[in-house]
Amino acid sequence: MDVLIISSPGGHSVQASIIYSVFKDDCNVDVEHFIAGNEFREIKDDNFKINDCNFNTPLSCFFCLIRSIYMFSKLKPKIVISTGAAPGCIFLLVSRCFGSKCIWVDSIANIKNLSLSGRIAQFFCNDIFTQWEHLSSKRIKYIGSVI
Amino acid sequence: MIFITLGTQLSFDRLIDFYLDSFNASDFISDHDVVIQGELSDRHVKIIEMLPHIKHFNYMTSDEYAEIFSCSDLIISHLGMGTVITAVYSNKPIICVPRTVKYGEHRNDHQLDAASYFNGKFSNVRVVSDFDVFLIEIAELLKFDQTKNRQVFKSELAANLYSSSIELLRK
Repeated sequence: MDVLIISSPGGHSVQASIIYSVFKDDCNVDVEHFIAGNEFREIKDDNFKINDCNFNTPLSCFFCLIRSIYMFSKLKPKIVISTGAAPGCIFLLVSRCFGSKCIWVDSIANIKNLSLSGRIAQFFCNDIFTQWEHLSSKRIKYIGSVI
Repeated sequence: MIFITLGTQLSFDRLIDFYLDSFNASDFISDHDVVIQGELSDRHVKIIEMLPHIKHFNYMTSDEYAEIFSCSDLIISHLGMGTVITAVYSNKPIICVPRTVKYGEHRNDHQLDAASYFNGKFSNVRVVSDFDVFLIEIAELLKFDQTKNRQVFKSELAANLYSSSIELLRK
């Protein structure tokens, strides 16, 4: 697989699907978007179900980590993009360990500072993007927003 | 039809109270059927059972959500980014009430922080925290013509991500 986009449900997945639709327009790119958590009941294939989690509940994060390793080994994406939140961060960590290119896009909801997941992701991701110009720095880049 | 959406995570009693108060206060709102998506308190469930023009769903699939979203004349919602982005892309009139920590409606005040940015930036998006303003804006937005001034949105971020990824894949 070329590009895997992973996000939590809700606002994260709306932003991820905007990015997904641009990649999808190019039929030469093999791209997929997976949503962690409650929307997994819409995903038919059992291989690609991943639970939602947050950093306040370590056990759910552990399950998410196990699922991420399994899913990564099945799909082997060359590039992984996440718009958040914790499941995306965990999946990116796994992907980075296996040598994929990892991109974190912080949610447009984070106006005052980067999300917790984003601050963790900046330690291992290849690229970190914010959607707010005033939050950009040398490491955290701004290349536009979803709206 | 008016679509009230509360998001997937938490309940938002104040928004339902806003709607119910406006329903009692003015005719132009009570003329419209309503669909509510999201979790409600027991008090609201009891009230809504007595109002036949309101349909309530705790959970919707994304297809059901998209269908109701596109059919509605007005969206009333929390200032959830997913809902606002969807409304901006489809030129749908939307009135948003930011969730606050003060009333225990969210874990942080990012919706309040976003309020000043989104208010006035798009003609179809209004952000209000005050009930009187809520009433005025509803009256205005129900007159909003969805087919007029329709812009095609293209995300600069998505386009940039795409071109840099293609470069990388070709290497």
